[in-house]
Amino acid sequence: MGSNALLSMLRHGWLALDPLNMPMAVVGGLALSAWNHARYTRDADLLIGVDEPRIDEILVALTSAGFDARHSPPVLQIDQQKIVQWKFVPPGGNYPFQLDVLLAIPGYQDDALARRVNQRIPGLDHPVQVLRPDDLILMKLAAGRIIDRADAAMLLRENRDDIEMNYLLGWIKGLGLDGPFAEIWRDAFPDQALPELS
Amino acid sequence: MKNQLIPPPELAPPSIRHLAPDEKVALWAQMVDEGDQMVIAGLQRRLGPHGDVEAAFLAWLDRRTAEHDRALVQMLKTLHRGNRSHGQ
Repeated sequence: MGSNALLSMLRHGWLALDPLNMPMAVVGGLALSAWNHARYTRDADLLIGVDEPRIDEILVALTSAGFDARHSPPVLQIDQQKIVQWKFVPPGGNYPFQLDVLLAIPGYQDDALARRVNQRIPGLDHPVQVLRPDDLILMKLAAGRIIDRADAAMLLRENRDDIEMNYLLGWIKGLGLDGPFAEIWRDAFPDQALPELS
Repeated sequence: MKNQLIPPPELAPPSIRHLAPDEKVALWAQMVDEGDQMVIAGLQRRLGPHGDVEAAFLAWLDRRTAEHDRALVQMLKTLHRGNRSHGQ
């Protein structure tokens, strides 16, 4: 089934990268279930803190583990951000799954990685790390699709006690996401005023 | 509900906050598997008994990947813009 194959890919990729001792966290749709919002997804995304000279170690580790880079050369650069996109067909599987590895850049992403928390994944005997819900909300709002904004609204509603509101509001302002944040706040908490940075 | 991203609290599905981490992952897994089955069933219905459902599912995955990639690029551009305004 698709879920087993996707979890198998995540386990496989995590175990390949773990020995590199780089800060790393699951982001995107798969991380949502850790924070009380389960929805359909067929890919996994990792955020990794890596110094430029060590990027090749990631490429070697995942290639050796059976992942195929989607692009040649494998590292894409979008503005300042580098990313490597992989395909993986789990053993016995028919369909490929996608793993996106985002190489963290200084600023917001470093902050997010520093705040990551442990999460158990079935079949893995040690925890993986996931971003906190406030950081996932920021990434979802930055992605901007309706489904991403809906995810952000659900994360906000379901995790209010775990969200550091001043941290979230600071980055909302810094990333210019005030409008989308006002929209998800209205839907998450229809009867409550929008909070302000204190 | 018009123009709302999610249902109001009184109409929302039950919260899964009380579930153990393993149970949350199990629920996610169920949604993925049932979602795949629904897509495949829809393709089978559209293509009929002699249609190539596997090829159609792969084409559907390609379209999904393209949409995911566009959202990823949008996210990275927004985060980069914010970093620049923070002087990073």
